[in-house]
Amino acid sequence: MRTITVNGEARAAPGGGTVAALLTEMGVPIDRRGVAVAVNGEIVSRERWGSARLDEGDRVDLVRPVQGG
Amino acid sequence: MSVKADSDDRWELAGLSLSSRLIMGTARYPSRQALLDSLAVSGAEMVTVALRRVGVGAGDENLYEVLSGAGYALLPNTAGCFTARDAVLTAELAREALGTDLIKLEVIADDATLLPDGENLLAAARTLVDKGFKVLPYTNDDPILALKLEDVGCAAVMPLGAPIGSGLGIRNPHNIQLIKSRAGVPVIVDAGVGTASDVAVAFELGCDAVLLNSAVARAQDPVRMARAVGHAAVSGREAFLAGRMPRKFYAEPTSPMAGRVEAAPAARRPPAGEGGGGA
Repeated sequence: MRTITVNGEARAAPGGGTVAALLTEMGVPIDRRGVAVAVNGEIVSRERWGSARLDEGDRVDLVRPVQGG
Repeated sequence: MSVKADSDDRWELAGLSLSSRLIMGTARYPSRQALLDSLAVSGAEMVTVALRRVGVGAGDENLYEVLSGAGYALLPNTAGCFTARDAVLTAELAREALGTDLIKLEVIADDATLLPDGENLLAAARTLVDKGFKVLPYTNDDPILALKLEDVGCAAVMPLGAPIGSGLGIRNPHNIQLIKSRAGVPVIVDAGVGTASDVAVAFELGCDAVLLNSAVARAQDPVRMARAVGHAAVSGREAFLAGRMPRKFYAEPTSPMAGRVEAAPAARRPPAGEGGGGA
């Protein structure tokens, strides 16, 4: 089983192997704005979610807007 | 009812034409409803958000949809970033998540003061301008740094009035005025506002806008304070446009002195500047 890190926590890589598969597994609606993804400190743009593959040890940041000043 | 700005006094920020000169933060409100009500009565058209790693469960309310659905322009920030690199990545995530090139750039030096780290702020600003962002840097009230930020292509400069969340008001009005007198981009006082009069002062100094958060969110009655700062923004701006009278050291009578009643001649001090002891 491949292990990745999502927002600092270890997790099995998604079955489908892509960023889109990870988001779907996590219950994130992938057709709506308000979410962004970086893998190993590099942005993965929305158009690439379906094709970008996650490898063993990848660090995924999944962010969204929160209340801020 | 929300506070309405003078419709003839619009201003431009990074290509956007805005009527309200208040930009409101969205943090630290007692409730989501207090936030939305406060934003509504303030008259603000642009509001700030932060970007954070969070669990994105199906039941979570999407702040992006709530705020943009209510018609606000979103200004994401890079709050909490201590390095240029973190700030750049956060800005890129914000652009991707929110679909905006606007970024309130914060690069903070330390936890205790939350003061901007000028050197890294400038480096991050340069990088983000190169990447096509419209950069609005949160900066010290330093006229020289403000000019450097403008020179690297920032769309505005946002000097602090006082440290974030301090509510101390504008500690160095002279510097804010200096920044405004030399900047070719909008000057937005960001941070330090504690109450309505601080907002009025910022505008009387000539600033183009004010960004505030805690003054409203931490007020006993946030909605009422939101209305107050909205009025103060309009009042301060009007006062600036009206052109204030010159300051004088001595009084100048408003009623005519000639023709007044004198029951008995009064002994008077000589006018100022004419000395006391005659030759």
